[in-house]
Amino acid sequence: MGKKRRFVNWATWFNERPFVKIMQQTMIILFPVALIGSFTWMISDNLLATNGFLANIFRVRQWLPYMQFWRQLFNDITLATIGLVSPYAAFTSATLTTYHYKHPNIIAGLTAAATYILIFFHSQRGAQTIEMRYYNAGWLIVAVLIGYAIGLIFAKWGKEFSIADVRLRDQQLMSKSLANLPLVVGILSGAFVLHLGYALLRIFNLDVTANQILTSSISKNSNYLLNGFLSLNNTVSVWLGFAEPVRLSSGAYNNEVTSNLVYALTHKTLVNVPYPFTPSSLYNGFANFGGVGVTLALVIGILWIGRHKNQQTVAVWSALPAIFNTGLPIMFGAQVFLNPFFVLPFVFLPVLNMVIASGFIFLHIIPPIVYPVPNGTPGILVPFIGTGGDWRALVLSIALLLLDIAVYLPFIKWAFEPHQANGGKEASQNEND
Amino acid sequence: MKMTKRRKWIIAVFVGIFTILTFFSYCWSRQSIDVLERRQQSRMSPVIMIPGSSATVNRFDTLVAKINRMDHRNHSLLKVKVYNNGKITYTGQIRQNDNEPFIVVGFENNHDGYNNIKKQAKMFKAAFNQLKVRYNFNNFKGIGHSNGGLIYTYFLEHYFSERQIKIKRLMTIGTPYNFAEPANRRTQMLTDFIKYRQNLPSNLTMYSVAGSENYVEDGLVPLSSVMAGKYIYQGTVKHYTQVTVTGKLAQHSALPQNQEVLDLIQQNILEHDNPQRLNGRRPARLAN
Repeated sequence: MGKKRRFVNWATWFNERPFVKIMQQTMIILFPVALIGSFTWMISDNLLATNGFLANIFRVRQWLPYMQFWRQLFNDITLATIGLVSPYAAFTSATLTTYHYKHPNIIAGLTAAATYILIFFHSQRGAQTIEMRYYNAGWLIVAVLIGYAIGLIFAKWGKEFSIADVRLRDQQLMSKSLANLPLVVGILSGAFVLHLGYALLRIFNLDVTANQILTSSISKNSNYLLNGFLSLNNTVSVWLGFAEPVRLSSGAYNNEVTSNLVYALTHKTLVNVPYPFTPSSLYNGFANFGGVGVTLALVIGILWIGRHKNQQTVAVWSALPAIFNTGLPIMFGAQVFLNPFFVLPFVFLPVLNMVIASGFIFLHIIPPIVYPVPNGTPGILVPFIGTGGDWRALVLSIALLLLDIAVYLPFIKWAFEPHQANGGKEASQNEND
Repeated sequence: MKMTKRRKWIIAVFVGIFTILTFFSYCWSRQSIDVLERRQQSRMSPVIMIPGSSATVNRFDTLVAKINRMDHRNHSLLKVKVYNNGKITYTGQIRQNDNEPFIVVGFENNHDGYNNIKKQAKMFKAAFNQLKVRYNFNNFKGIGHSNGGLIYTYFLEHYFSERQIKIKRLMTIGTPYNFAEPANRRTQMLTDFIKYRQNLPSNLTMYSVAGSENYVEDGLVPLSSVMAGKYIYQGTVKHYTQVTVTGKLAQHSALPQNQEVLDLIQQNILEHDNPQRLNGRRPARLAN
């Protein structure tokens, strides 16, 4: 009991640190953007993509003309929302920081967004156009950090410029804007130096190497420990705010997956396939219910015991994306990033799922996952489809989901309790926004 | 744990959604496995051919007729034409039980130049996707004459990512990997081909046939440009063999009718499940 109280107290204290608090407030403000982007992503990548789950089971290609065109349209919305969420986050966190330190300044937000874009903007790499991957959720934490730092600078040296100032006369407004100019120029010059350094790094392609090493080691050799390592790498980095996990798409076919498939198709049985524990099948099959960190269990858990009306609304809206493995809305809506309350289930439940499932496979209680599964298949249906419709596999994944929900419940309770104790002010603020 | 009305709703909604999804995905999964199994058991192994620039789908008529006269196996000939607007038409048909038909894929846009090669490779992808659904083969052989070989190379590097379909052998005939440029000046296309060579299938057996009227060219394409194929294929695919044919009909456009080339196709590209039937001429096989 004492241990639990100490954990809750420490976690509450941690969540009150200015940076963590600003990070979580940024998530709250960006929730609508993340939600809309996730819905359109679901439409473009699941319903309208040739290899998407919904497209396949409802045979969308056969009754919808110009599928590619529609897909592209919805994809554009995704790009404008979660595709650019990092600059938005830099803007929000810088503005919030100046408000937090009682020196409100909206120019700080603009400067932060411009700075972030400039640092990673690189229009020349061969004939390639601008790279977008630094602007999506993958580098969220970096954006929030940059915004925070710039917010601090403005809080210390900037001239106050709050939204309320728009009531002033134009000339006064201009003088405030000009007063901040030197700081904007200074910060952007700093960003330019970083931009230059980063451009040099990119010329040598250092920025993609790490990711390549990871992906290639996964698709080359199968090693049981690799499953756990991959899962931990994904969950920890997402929890830290690098919110775009490495995807093991079903397109990542390696030799082992292929020989499994050939074996199953020639022998018409899944018993004794040569490689029952391939990383992509175990990870996609059991560690990914509702996206990285078993977020579907988190959504259902909040629906089950959440007391606040806001939490309920957030969870209801996040439920559909979570069913199709898009955890981003609930991670924003429940402020999962950097939140110590959720780190344990978020990081360890996927590993637990994989260990239990591989035990069942080892004991031949369920067959291994062998058949190809379309992209965006709901996590708990992956084992079912991947075994060619084996009901035992479906029962196991439902049981695992129930277990995951049960594990999440106490953490959800603790996470939202302190908010109710001293969070009255915060709640009313949210309603005003 | 109390069963409030809300909790009953949660259970009902989730169970409802997942029941529907489970039902549909069960149907899908049975059907998709069926397709996979049928493909796995398919015995068809077509030869898919791409003609060069300015040529039509009729480019290989003589070649197929001659091959049929040589091996008496009565290969069918199917001609597929891809139009610029995406329409795909078929002429001829594949005889039932013909396990090794010839399929020629031609394009409305049959112009020269790197940009057109890229467009044609994309058109070839569309045709290939239709063919694989229609005929359900799990392996095939490729022949490309002249720029057809460039289209094949671009296709294999950028569009060919099949997990169940294998390209066993590829033969390019008089294919100018460096267009008409001299060896010391690499074209953008050759540079790109070399850049993405790792995407080529590693278990491919590849033959590049050059024609030579004199010591340097086949009347149109420099020998060195055909030879430049080694920078792309050699060491990347399983086997890469370079052959130069000379003499009568070694002129660029005549190569598909050249008897030596026909022998090479018959010996090295076509299947030999019954070696007894091969009588008469048998030049040395180049590789297995």
